[in-house]
Order: sequence, then C-alpha cells, then structure tokens
Amino acid sequence: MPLISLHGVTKRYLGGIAALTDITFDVDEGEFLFLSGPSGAGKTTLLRLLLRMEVASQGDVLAFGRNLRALRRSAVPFLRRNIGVVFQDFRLLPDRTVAENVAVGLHVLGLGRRDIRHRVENALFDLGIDRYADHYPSMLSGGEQQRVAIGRALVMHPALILADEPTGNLDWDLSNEIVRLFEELNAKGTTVIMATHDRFLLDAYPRRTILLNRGMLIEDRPAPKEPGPKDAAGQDAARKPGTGKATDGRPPPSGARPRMHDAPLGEG
Amino acid sequence: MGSRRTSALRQGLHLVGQGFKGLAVSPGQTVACVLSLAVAGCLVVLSASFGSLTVEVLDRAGRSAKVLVYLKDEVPAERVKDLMIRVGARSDVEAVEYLTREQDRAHNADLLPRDVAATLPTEAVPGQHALEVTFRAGAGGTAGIAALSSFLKALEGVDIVAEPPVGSGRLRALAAAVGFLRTVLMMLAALLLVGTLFFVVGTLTRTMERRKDEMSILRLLGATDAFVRAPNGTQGVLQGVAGLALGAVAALLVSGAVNAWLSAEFDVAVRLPAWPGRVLPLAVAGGILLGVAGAFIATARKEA
Repeated sequence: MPLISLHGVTKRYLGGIAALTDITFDVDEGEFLFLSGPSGAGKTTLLRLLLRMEVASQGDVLAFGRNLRALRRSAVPFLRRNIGVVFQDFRLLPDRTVAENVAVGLHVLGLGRRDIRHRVENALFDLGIDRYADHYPSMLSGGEQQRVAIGRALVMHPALILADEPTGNLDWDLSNEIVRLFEELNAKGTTVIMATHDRFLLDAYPRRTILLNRGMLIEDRPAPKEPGPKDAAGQDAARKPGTGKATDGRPPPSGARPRMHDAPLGEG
Repeated sequence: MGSRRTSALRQGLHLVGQGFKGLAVSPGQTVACVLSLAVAGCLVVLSASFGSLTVEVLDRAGRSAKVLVYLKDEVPAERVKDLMIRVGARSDVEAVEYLTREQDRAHNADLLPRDVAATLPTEAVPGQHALEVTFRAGAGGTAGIAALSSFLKALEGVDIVAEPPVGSGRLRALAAAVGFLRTVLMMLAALLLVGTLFFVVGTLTRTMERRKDEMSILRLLGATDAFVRAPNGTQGVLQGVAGLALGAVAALLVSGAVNAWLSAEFDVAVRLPAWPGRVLPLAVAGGILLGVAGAFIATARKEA
C-alpha cells in the first residue's frame, strides 16, 4: 500500500482558478521523489494538500492510509506529527537559539527536558551544527540555517519529509549538501518529497520526478536503476572540490559517531 | 496512562512558561494593562464598600430612630398611660417610654456645650414631660416615620412631635450623596473594566502578532489549536489576576486608611467595609474570567 496516493485531485481557489487539475500518482514508503516544474506549476499547492493546509476541491488525497479530505480538523495535528516540513526561507524563529529552534516541535509531543535535550543534541550532531547550538539563526549562513530547519523536522522522527524548494536560497555547493542530507535520511527509510525547479539538481540527482506545469501532471519520470549524485557537468557531485568530508573518503573522528553529513559548512 | 498524564503536565508547564514569556513581549503595554486593571479593581471594591456603608448608615439610623412626643403640661397620668397603650399597640413601634420633666431637662442639658451648661441654673434648661417612641427597625423607613409622626400629632394632649434625625433633610441628603457617589464609582469601574478588557485584548493581540511565525510553525509541527492558543490564555489570566489582585489589595489599604481617618477625626462608629476574606478570592476569579475572555476575543479577532 503506498504511503501517499492522489486520485484525480483538483484544487481550485476562490474565483475558480485551478492550481491543480486531475493529478493522480502514488508515493511508496521509503521513496525519494522530486516535484518539479516552473513557478506557478502547483508544487507548493500539492505539498499544502499533503499537509492538509488545503483541502482538494475534487479527488482524493490519501496519506498514511487516511483520506485527507475526510479528515476531521481535530485529527490534522496528529497527521502532521508524521510529516517533517522544510521551506525555502527556513522559517526559523529569530529570537530562539539553534537548539531551541530544533526543540520547538518536541514540546508539542510533551517530551521531558532530558529527552528533548538528547534528541536535539543528536540531531545537531548528525547535521554537523552541534557547535552552533547556542547561536541565533542570524549568526548562521544560509546553509547552516537550512540544516537547523532540517533538524527541526528530523527530531520529530517523521515518516515523511516534505521540502518546498529547500535549496532555493542556497548556492550550488550548499544545495548539494542539503540534497545529500535528504538522501541520507531517505537511505534510513524516511520518505522524501522535495519540490524544486532547479534542473541542475534534477540532473545531478536522478530520482523519480513528477513534472508539473500549470497545475497539470506532465510527466512521471521513474528513478533510474542506480541513482547517484551528479553535478551539473555530469560528474559525481561528491568529487566536486570543497563539498564535504563525509564524501571525500576520510573517516569520522576516532571514537565519534559518524555524522549524517560531516561536510564543512559553507558561508552561504 | 501515567506517561500520558506526565506528558500533559509537561505540556501544561511549558505553556505556562510561554504565557510568562508573553508578558515580556511588550512590557510597557503589559504594565499599563495591569495598572489599569488594578485601578478598575480598586474602584469596584471601593464603590461596593461605599454602597454597603450607605445601607449600614441608613439601617443604623432606622434602628436608633426615636420620636419624642412632648405632652401638654395639663395631661394627667391616666391620660399618659392611655396614650402609651395606644401608641405601643402600633406595629411600627418597638417601645414607648415616659420621660419626666427632669429627665428631659437632663437630656437637653447634655446637648449644650459643657461650659455653658455648667454656668446655667437648672431651671434655665427647658424640660417638658414626653413620650419617647422607638421606631421598629425596617418598618418602612423615612416614609413610615412620617406616617407615625402624623398619627402622634393627631392625638389629644400632644403638644409637639419632634421627628428623629433620620427623617431630617440632612441625613437624607447625606444618604443620597453617598448613594450617588456609589453609583458614579460603580459606573466608572464598569467602564474601566470594559476598557481594560480591551487593553488585555490589545496586549494579547500584540503578543500573538509577535508569535505569528511561531504559531504557524507549531501548527505545521502538529500542535493542536489548544496548544497554540494556551499561552495567550495563560498570559491573559496572569495579567487579569495580577491586575485585579493588586487593585483589591489597594482597595483594602484605602479602606483601612479611610476607617482610621474616620475614627481619628470624627470618632464615628461607622466603618467602610472591605471584606478582606472575600475580596482577594473574588479578584483572582475575576482576573481569570477577564483573562480568558480577553484571550478568547484576541484569538477570535486574529483568526477571523
């Protein structure tokens, strides 16, 4: 049974403007899927439907075996606890430290202080930003801020990650780092749906891609047999200079738990 | 089950903490809000005190209301007995006593300044035999006393009927003044309370604007409506309780000072009641109610 199923989904806004028209596709558990298309194609609307921030005008959206159109308002928070969300503009709280930003969702779960600290420390370590725990977002680069946003999603242990143009504000190197982070999460079993209009990224990371245009599904391109990160020139992105320790063949520090991604952070 | 309860407790403590943090979002507005609530709360207590004092003054006046019925000199003892029986039979009369000329003279001498009374010969102070009629408390107020006076004046052998002070214009004017003051204070307090409710709403709205991003992130991370709104409720309740409790304490202090002043300056037995045992719990309850109402209005306005 797929984790997500869309059947004939149409979304019209007030005035009858159709943001999505008759969209049908499935996403299996553990899949990595790109949603692509130009601005206004309907990528964000689709993600909003999956988060139940919007309700489809027609058709069914099924997530985790539940029809989101029929989902009661009171059940929506419990659906969202299974979904991690990452945005292009990070949406970090400027008056909270990195650790506090990552912990913000854990209070929702009612975890104890010790559990929260443990989860936050692990997430920051895995993302290579543990030394910034007491920093404020404004003191970090774009790539570091996006890692914090990913950490905020990760600590909730979501089954699904929805990323809406997470590399939109980042340069090529940082974009690579972020996509590799998602790949590593995906390798651990988390389903990832990432919206992007960056064709270079799509070329560098050949994965299943849903191509949207003007609200319609133009193409559902399957993943190649053995996907691997490629840069814009078709080379292995991992070999690109300055893209990270974890991919440069060096082992993590002796006795230390390997990080999810141990690359030096760019200044973004 | 226990773990769920612990989790709910942790969430509750976290939300209370968030409510406290909300107070610091716009400290100036918070302080102004708490102070205006305190003034309103103080006025409510004081106006209720004045109202209660009015009732007490009138009650005391009614209880001590006595009508002196001066009898003509020639009225014989048998006639006096007959008059006492007739007057005493009335339902609005508590008691009837006979005052001799000497007793009345002594009573009149008491009304004179002591140094003047000491220089006068006994016969110089007027004295007339009379009936002292005590009005039954709560038997009709000033109108009842007026009716009794009319009845007494019509009796044969009665010379003069001296109305009690409660029937006098002065006491009625005093009661009216106190009552008017009470009404004005109550109206001001009510207006101020309505105003402060919007002050609470304004402060909460500002906090919600500051928390807008946090609230939207929390919702995306799976926070329930109650979780997102609870800090506003907590903040509203904290403001409400702090303001009204402060006002109640101020009112207790003011009434204590007024009582001390009344006692020192006038040596009067009346005291401004302040109900210390009830005012603080009522202020806390009122603060909670006001805070919840404020949070409800602010949330409804922001989410509309």
